[in-house]
Amino acid sequence: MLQRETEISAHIVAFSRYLRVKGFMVSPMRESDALLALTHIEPTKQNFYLALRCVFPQNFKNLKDFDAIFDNYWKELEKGVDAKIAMAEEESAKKKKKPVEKKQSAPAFESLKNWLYGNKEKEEELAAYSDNVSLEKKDFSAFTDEDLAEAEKLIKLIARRLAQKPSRRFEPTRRGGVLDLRRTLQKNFRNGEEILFLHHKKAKPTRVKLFLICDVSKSMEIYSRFFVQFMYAFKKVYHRIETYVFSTSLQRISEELNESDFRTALQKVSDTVPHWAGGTDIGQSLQNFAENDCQRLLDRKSIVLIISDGLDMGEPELVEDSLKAIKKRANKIVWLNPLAGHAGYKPEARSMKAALPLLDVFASGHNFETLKEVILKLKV
Amino acid sequence: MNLDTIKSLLQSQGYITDDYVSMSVFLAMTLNKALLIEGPAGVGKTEIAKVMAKALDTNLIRLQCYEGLDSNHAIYEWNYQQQLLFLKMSENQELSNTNLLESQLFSDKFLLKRPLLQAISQEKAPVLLIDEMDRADEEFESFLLEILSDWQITIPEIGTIQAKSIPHVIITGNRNRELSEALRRRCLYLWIDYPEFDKELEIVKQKVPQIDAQLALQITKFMQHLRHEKLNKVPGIAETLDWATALAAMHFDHLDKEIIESTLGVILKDWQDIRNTQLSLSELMEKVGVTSRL
Repeated sequence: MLQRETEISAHIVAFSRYLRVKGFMVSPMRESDALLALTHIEPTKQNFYLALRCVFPQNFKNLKDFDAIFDNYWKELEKGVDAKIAMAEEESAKKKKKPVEKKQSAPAFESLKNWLYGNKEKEEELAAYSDNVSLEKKDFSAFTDEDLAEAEKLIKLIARRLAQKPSRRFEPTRRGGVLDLRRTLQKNFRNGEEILFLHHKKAKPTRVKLFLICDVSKSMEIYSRFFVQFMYAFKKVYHRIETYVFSTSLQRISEELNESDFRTALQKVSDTVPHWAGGTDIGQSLQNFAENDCQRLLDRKSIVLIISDGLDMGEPELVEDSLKAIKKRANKIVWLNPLAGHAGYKPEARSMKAALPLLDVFASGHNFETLKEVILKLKV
Repeated sequence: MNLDTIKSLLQSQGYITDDYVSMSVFLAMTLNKALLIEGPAGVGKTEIAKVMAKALDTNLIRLQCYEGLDSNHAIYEWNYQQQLLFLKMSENQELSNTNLLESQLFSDKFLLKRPLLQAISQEKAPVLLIDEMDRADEEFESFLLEILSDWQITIPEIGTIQAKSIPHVIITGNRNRELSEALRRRCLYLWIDYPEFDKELEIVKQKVPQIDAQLALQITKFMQHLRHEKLNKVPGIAETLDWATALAAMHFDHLDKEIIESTLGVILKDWQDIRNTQLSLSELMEKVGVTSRL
């Protein structure tokens, strides 16, 4: 009897591991819950299945996936195949699959690259004619170092004015607001029975949390330096901010940007990012974000700002799915596309097209004026 | 207590259920975990809590969530008016001892217990229903986590209050907003979908016993098909039951086009849905197999 029990617990542990591979969040607590649950039910096949189905899934997606995973796992087991082998096979199958896919997309990548380089020349041309004396109207691609210092000052102004909406929570205040009876009573009764001082409270402002995700691939090269600088300056004056860059994969650079000198920070960032000025995979990068940080950090006060030209070689479906996932958690998704500032721009790129219906704001942000306009309007 | 007891308890309260639902309720109770129920509107998520309370013969304490719900409304608040009166009255009695005054001022007498505090101060474990959790904001969610794991509430003026009994917690949500992983980790998850034909028919027959058998069959079939149409707001069981009750009260024994058209407002609550359904009604009725009498 005892041996049978250890057997089942070993299976549950192995099954939990398998579920983790499949994207379930299974804590040790869950595993022990599952084992505990099994001690309370009649040991039939149906009950066993139902109990595990009740314990392991934590959201709708898990639940949908569960049946197939369950069948897969226990059928394999019934066949007498060791669970670990099954898992290993699955893993290796995954690994085998990936390179094949990449090879298939290689020609497409080449043609895209050609197109991108061709496009870049055109962009520089475009950038040149918007070379205005006024800093605000100047296209970022034509920014000099002095301009950048000036820009930093403007960013400070913007950050301070970032829209704040009153929340429904309160904080103490000295001026104005409504009477805070609780504090008034607490503070006053020590002076005897007489109420001598009144305390007030006012609505706490909701502070926007910003998530800046910037494309630093080849096609964005002329803009990305500025945007990284923009992130850097923004981070200095505004604390509720997380910064990321991506090309083929996403990289969080909040730590790197903490350097006191921008040049060191920029160096650090470009060192940590594997494909600086490389290819682009927006879908993959956004999925990284949606699957990891999105779950932990995003809330209804968050605004996700994506800065990208929307030109990539990835799958537009992935862009759509990830944006949907982000939208569920965030308050708003804003996409800044520097190309959109040029006359006659149409969102023809596949990823851009897929993303458009899911965006709350789509703007160009290719010069300071448009950027300022967008940021100041950010409200939760 | 075992699985079958739970099942028959739920059934005895008129809740038609399946193995999956009763297993979830059973495990949530035996493992002492909160049960997070998600699903479309009107499929009986809230009902589970009500039925559980009845079946266990205990109190149902309900906390309806909304945006901006704060601890004053969820846990406790001091009754300031009475506190002020008390202070005024004590003036005459010359109470010089401030400590004594404090302990009286912040005593149970002036404490307004809101749902969460109520729930942990019951002798017999109540059912605590936290309804539409996704409407409350994140702050409240993290706050709730603390209570769900420690079962204690700290009131600065009094101290920490330990739960007398651990409530059976039911949390419902419509997926308006994704709930946090941290909350999910502490809960068992149950998804309730629109019922299958057989289950829905059984529910109609049980909840509207005076209904004609033929009519019940037609109504259920119609609703099942209607849910496959492209609608802005898909009707749940609540709507089916409303409709069945309404038609039974008017002593109809079958459906026809005229009846459906004039009572569509009972099941569809969206202008555009009503409009579209009216246009495709003949087609829909053909699918259901209802022939209109001319």
